[in-house]
Amino acid sequence: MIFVKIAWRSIWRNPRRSWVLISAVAVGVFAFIGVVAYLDGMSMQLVKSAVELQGGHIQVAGHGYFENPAVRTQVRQMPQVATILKDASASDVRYASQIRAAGMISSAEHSAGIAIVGVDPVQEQQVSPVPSLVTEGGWLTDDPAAGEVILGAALAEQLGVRLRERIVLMVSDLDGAVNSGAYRIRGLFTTSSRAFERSTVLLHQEEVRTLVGFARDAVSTVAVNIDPGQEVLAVAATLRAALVGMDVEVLTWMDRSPMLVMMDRMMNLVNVILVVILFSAIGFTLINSFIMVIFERIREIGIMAAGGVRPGQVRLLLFLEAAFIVVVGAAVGIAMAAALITWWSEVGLDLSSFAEGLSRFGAGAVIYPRVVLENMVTGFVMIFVMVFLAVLYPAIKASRFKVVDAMNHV
Amino acid sequence: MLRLVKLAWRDIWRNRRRTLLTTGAVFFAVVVISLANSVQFGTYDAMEQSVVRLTTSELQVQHPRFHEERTLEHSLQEKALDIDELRLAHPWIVAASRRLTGFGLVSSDSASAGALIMGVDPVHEPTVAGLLRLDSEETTLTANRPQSVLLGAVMARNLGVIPGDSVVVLTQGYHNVMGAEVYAVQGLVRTGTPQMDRATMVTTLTAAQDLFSMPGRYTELVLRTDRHTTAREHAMRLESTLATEEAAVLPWQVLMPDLDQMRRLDDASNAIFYVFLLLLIGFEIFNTTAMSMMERVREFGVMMAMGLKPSLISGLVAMELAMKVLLGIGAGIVVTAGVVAILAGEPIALSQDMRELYDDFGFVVDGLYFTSRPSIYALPVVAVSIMSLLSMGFPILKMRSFAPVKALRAA
Amino acid sequence: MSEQPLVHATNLVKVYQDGSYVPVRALGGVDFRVEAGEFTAIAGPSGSGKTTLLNLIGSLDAPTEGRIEVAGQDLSLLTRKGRADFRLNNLGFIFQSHNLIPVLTAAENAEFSLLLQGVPTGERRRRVLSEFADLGIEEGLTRRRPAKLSGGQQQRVAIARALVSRPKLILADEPTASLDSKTGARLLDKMRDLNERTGITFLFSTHDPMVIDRARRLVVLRDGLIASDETRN
Repeated sequence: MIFVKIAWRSIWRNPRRSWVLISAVAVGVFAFIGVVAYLDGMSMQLVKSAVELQGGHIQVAGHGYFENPAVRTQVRQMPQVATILKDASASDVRYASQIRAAGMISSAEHSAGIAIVGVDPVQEQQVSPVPSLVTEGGWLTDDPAAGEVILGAALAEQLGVRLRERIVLMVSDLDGAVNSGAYRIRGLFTTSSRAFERSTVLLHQEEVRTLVGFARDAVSTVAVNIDPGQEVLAVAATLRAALVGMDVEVLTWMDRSPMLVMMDRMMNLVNVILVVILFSAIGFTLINSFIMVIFERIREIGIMAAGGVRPGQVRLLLFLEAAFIVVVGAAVGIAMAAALITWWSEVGLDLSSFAEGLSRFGAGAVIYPRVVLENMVTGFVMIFVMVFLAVLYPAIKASRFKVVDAMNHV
Repeated sequence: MLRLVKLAWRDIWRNRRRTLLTTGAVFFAVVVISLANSVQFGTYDAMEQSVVRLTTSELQVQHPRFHEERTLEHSLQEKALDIDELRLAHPWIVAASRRLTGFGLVSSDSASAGALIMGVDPVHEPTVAGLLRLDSEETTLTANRPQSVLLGAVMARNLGVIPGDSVVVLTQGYHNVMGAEVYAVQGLVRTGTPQMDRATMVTTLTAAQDLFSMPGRYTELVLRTDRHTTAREHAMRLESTLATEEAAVLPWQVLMPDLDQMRRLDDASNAIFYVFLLLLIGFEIFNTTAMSMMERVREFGVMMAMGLKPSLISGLVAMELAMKVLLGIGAGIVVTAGVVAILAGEPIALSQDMRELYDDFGFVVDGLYFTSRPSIYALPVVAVSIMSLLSMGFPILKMRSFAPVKALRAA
Repeated sequence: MSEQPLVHATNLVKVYQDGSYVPVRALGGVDFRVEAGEFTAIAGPSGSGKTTLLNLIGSLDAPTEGRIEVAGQDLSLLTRKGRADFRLNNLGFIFQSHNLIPVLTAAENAEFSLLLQGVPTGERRRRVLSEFADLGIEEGLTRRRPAKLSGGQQQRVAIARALVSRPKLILADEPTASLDSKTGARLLDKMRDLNERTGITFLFSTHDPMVIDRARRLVVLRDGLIASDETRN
């Protein structure tokens, strides 16, 4: 078809002009992929780290525990629950059990109210980010009588204690008697949540079991993490059905932490605003460039019109050219963005290097881009629509131009 | 020179479409970035202010080491600082109240929990912070009921107590004196922060002073000021005028590093967004400049044939660009100022369920706030100016190697 | 040949009113007929209205007043699309310069109207090549883009393009203005020869004496009116 030929050749005849357009599309595509991948990565990162810190995507606990987290409310048959967790889910479910109790921590001079969390050091590494956030010392060993604890760096600072020093934990057991024990600090962790850092002490589950008086197979909570591809609600429903009769409840992080849900939504709202701003900028650039370029070619269009090319054919020609430009531009933009994202996924983007005082966020401030196919497709559709609109006005205008005026146009 | 300005001015109106392209790009950039800044600054300010006024208030006077080491040894003498004097010297202090904060183990018959024990001035506390909603009958602490306390709602539930029950409080007080006291639970407090509701006990300042065996001493003097954004400056000014060496003034940014860092994290994160946005806009400005340069090759050829020096022509081009950019910036600021003036009065309400969530958590921020403060224009104006200067380089370089004959032939 | 004139314009008025400027009366009521087979030049000084007249006849612009029929078709009755089709099937244009679509080769340019008309490939090729041969365009030039052709070569391709679809009327606006006199003369002779052989009507707007000399009828416009109209041999 002759118009395809003309369109294709027109693009390459005036490379400067075409590159103006191609680069406009490419920069737009590049910016949009970069920003969207960044925003998706960031919200995922922040929510993920907060969720994992606060007990996993799904939590199993004794019936009524979420309403009132009393030490008496327990998962009493952990071995059976573990078996069910493994069987119920087709893919690899990662879980970790905890015994939780409210207590007090004291150093030689100070004391503070804290949450005592008894963990299985091996399981915990598969579920919780805390083991990897230990910045001083090391994570717990799987020795039920080591007498060691891990606490937040902020708490240690507050208590005026350092690594390998001793602290005392006080907690009331199941019968209401106050028990205490002395422990050595094995490691300090740093997280993005100072509140969590200040209020959490981790030690081997068996030591807490003895301290609080939990039965052999009993725990307070089981944190369950799922793979990124899985739907939290679906997995939770499956587990809920499978765990009937165990006197436990299954909650997702959305049930447990409306605050996080709000944060997540707030962030999505802000992201939508940012994306709208970005797209209006892209749209503006595209419309601007296409108008500029099409008006440059009016004389050429006039010659064709004099030779009997119909207005519809003029529009067709311009749209064909735009289509070629978009395809080439998008390809260039995607290639650039792919390079950026590949590199970025390797190194991560450390936000703390952009602003002072963020270093303590540690890994929490390192953002990795995330490509969500759905969002990318939406973005491309939007870019195509915008190019279409960008061409529509000058194309209509050009096809309606009086031939004489077009020919005299400089 | 004047003639050049005149010529440039005429030129930019002669080809309006071309002028509109560059001016439009600049205008758009200024509007978009200023509006983004406006909503970002505005909403963060509103959020910070609501959190600050809920909890720490803007400033606190503390023992210089109390913030790092929260021990009662690092407390202040009531007599050392005169509140009325402070307020007289610094009229921007709106309200002031003393607090004594320590830790203890609170036990009921069935359970016990560690708690932050706050002794507050029942009269002045409500004027400095909204944290304790001391407005209802059952949560009104008065000095004449010294053995009454308020418990965090979640903590009371966890301990299994209701108002009217009693709790035993064990503390390690001033100079390590052990304290033990029985209190009647008068009411429950909901602070809006689950962590606090889980581990907070509130009593009067005098009752706390008795419990910790430290009469006449306190740990924090909480100051409410007229603005939260100037807290750092206020803190410095106040500290320099304090009569005693034994006190430090801390702004909320130091008291609540999480809040400050959240904003910094968000700012850093937005910086990434602006990098991409500016890349796009800078590209656009460069493009329109380069294009209009190319379009005018023939015109420049004619000018040169008439004897204009290339330096004059590039001066003309630079002048025209500067005019277009300034027009764009000016129009952008005017339009943004108008939009912001309309939006600044009323926040854009968030969706209903979002607002319910806010209510649950005691946040006062319920929408997107726009600020009209001039700093929202800083980034767009500076960035656009720099990008325009860079774009000017292209025509100037181009003019250097300009051959009039070739230019005349091109058309 | 039909009884009807090929071009029949009555009381043509064209007023250019551009923005705030003073209206310009380019044609002030012109009656004009062209019979099929003519080889006619419209001459006159700059601004006399000759290009305007040509544009109106070519349906490139619409008159302010008056009526034009070309090949029996009242141009005012045509839609924009109808005018495009009308030009495609009845008219050929040769402009002063930049006649060709820059991205197409000489041959592609020449066959452009045939393509739009839907003439099959083989026949297109044949007709273009014969036209080229007729106009003395060498084989080697057919695959060149306009930018690689000389001014004379470009104009010859433009004439080939105008001729190849066998239009009823060829409108040529200053076709020799961008050519040297030798090339111009050769092209004009060619056109006159074609007119004699094929009977295609040529209408020129020009002030080139070479064109005026070769025209068989000379219409002179002055200030938007016909000042003289002479037919010679």
